[in-house]
Amino acid sequence: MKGNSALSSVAQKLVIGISGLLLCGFVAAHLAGNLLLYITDGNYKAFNEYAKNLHDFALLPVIEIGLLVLFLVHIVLTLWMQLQSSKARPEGYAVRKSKQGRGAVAAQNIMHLSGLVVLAFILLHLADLRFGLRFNEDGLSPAQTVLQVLRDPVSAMFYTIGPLLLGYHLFHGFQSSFQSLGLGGERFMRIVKIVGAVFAVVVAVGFASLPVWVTLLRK
Amino acid sequence: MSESINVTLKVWRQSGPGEPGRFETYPLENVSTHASFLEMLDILNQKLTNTGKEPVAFDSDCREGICGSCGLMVDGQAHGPDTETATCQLHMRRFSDGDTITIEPWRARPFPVLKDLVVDRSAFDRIVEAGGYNSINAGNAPDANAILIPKDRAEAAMDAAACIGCGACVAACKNASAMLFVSAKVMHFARLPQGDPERTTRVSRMVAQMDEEGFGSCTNTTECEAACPKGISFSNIVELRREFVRAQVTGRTSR
Ligand code: HEM
Ligand code: SF4
Ligand code: FES
Repeated sequence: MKGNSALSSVAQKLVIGISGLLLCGFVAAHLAGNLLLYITDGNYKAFNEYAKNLHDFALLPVIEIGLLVLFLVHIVLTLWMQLQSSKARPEGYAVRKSKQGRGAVAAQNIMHLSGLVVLAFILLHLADLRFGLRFNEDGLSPAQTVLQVLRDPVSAMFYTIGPLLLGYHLFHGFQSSFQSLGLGGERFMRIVKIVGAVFAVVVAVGFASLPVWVTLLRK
Repeated sequence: MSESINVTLKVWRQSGPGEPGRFETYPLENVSTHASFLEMLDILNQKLTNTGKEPVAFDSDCREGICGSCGLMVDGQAHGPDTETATCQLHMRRFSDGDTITIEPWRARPFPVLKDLVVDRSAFDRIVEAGGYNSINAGNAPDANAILIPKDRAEAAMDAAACIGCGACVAACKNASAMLFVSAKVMHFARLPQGDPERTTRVSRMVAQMDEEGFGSCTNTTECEAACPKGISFSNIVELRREFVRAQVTGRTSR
């Protein structure tokens, strides 16, 4: 990255790390809410109440704008950084072999691709459930709306693949963001790596299980 | 184990900076497994010279793993398949009879190829010139133990100072990032009292120069650490970031 850009490469990575961690916080909160769908009692009472409280929350627009900014910062900075880095090696190697035994599709090598798939999923998700562009039947409860979307084959596919790749993204991303912030003592990192791996699996399985449950099991 | 092997070399040949290059294939017979990798290249060059051909240009100086001039990409790995080993310390017993060995120069925009396998690493020199020194008057060499430094601190500083500036970290990194090198140079000073007065400006200036040279950005893949012949720890990069934040918030920096 040329030194004439406003932020140095180290500062950019700090911002990326912070944005990544904040997004992780959002993902964790979102997952907790979604899992309420598994409580089917009283016609999904738990989920419906949660959704209603969220929609009635006065600060929701502020949170939504904050999230939008967070995503934009994360996406623009990471992709910009990778573009700059690819310019740092205009001529590649004929043969390439990791000394850590990592393959070409290891999580750290395809962060931009896993991120872009997640982005495609998020856009579809927003079209489906935030803006109601594809399904807009009136008079459905929040839970019924979600179930309707998840029964759609296209959505079901994206809602399975998206979270799985998000988990893959976080497998490298979660622990990486701490190192980007300059936090990386030996013992601390051992713990962060375990927490990150568990978080990645919980996110992937937690979100992806919903469409699987709806389309296959809950006939 | 046989004492000599036959190998086929695929070597990057390029007549000068900015010229188009290509791989040339050279069969080499009866190479002693006791030969070092560079001795094997010497044998190849002797053969090329004897048949009136241009020898392969490659860098080397100390041939004992301390000068940092000999880096080559061997079969896609910086300094070849061994860990914590410079190319000059790699030996032919690491290879088998009949192997094809691909040899390439370091690839990074700030390391332009000068000829064949030789690259220009003066970008590293400019980074060091930007702040990798002490310019305060530190006085004469102090008596031993006049300045007490905790053992683990002194050792961490020495470990960082072991960097030989070979460039393998850049060569192995998917982003062609120079962070391992720069962090080693920043942290070996930052950990010692003599380096303390210039801590703030040093890290800011060296990072700015690193960016200026056009190296890529670190994404924490730790491939540099695995490639480093001196075992420079990735944790230096994490500490450099802390050092950088400290410099920004305590101010007094000039870029
Ligand atoms: C909910 C969504 C997302 C979460 C929770 C998330 C999380 C993270 C985290 C924690 C990091 C590591 C930051 C660091 O190393 O300092 C990261 C890196 C990255 N993310 Fe995301 N991300 C998300 C969505 C996206 C999207 C939509 C893209 C779009 C392209 C993307 C592209 C990247 C890239 C390219 C990196 C850089 C990678 C690297 O260091 O190799 N991410 N992300
Ligand atoms: S950090 Fe290691 S690989 Fe990088 S220049 Fe120094 S000795 Fe070479
Ligand atoms: S020739 Fe000096 S380190 Fe290899």
